[in-house]
Amino acid sequence: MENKKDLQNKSAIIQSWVTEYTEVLFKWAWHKTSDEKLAEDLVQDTFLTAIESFHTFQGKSQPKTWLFSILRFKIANHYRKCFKMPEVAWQDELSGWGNELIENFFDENGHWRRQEMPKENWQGADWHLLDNPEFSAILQKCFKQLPKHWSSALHLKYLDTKNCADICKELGISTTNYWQILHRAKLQLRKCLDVHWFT
Amino acid sequence: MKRKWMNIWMISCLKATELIEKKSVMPLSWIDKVKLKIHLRLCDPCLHYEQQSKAIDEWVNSDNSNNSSENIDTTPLQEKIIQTLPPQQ
Repeated sequence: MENKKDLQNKSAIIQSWVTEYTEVLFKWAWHKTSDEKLAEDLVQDTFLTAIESFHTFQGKSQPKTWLFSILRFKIANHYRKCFKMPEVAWQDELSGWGNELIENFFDENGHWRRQEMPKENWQGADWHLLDNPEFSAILQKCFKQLPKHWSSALHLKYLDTKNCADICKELGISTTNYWQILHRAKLQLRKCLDVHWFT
Repeated sequence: MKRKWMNIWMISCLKATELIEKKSVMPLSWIDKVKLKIHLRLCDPCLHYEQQSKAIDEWVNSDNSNNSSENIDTTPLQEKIIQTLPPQQ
């Protein structure tokens, strides 16, 4: 049972974390979700969880690291829920829009259609490009154009610390379907960036 | 016979791009590895695709979010959060 002094300490510590880390947590959440309101809610949730789980923190890691791991888990959870949304079945999206995409990019022999061929290496395509807010905006715009299952799967690939087999088990899909979804998503994303930035 | 043997190692561009994505989440069988390597030696568009796919992976995975929301002031959010914290006893 926490005594009064412990509670006051805890409150003061959490408040100082809010002051120090809200901005950096929010920016990361916004970067990962492209949704300002969602990012705010996730950050707020993160601090609430931090209060509830404060006894597990015990100063074993840096507060920033610990808060980020909570936030990361919440964002991954958000994408897992998005993937399991019932409105459009991921199977329909993969066989419908996915197959259409394949037909647009490849002929019946599986060769690139002439106008869709990646023509050359993208110039200046390194991680520094994210420092350019115009590019960041284009990347977010291209992401928003993906079917929700696909953008969720793509985000989970990096957010979820589990391996592929475990991610797939949680989503209820086979590993084959998982990388097929990633493949279709990547084809569409690549094309979008090619058209809107690199060409 | 030789042609048939050679064809075993040849894959389509569609298959090559699929293997490039599959490779990023799980190990490929050695046969698929060889097939992909051969294809990338012969096919420039797929080589470009691989470079571009890797670049996209880096951007998605990046923690560099400094410019995502440079104009947003998070002070109101901070205040809102502090208000929702349990009061000090």
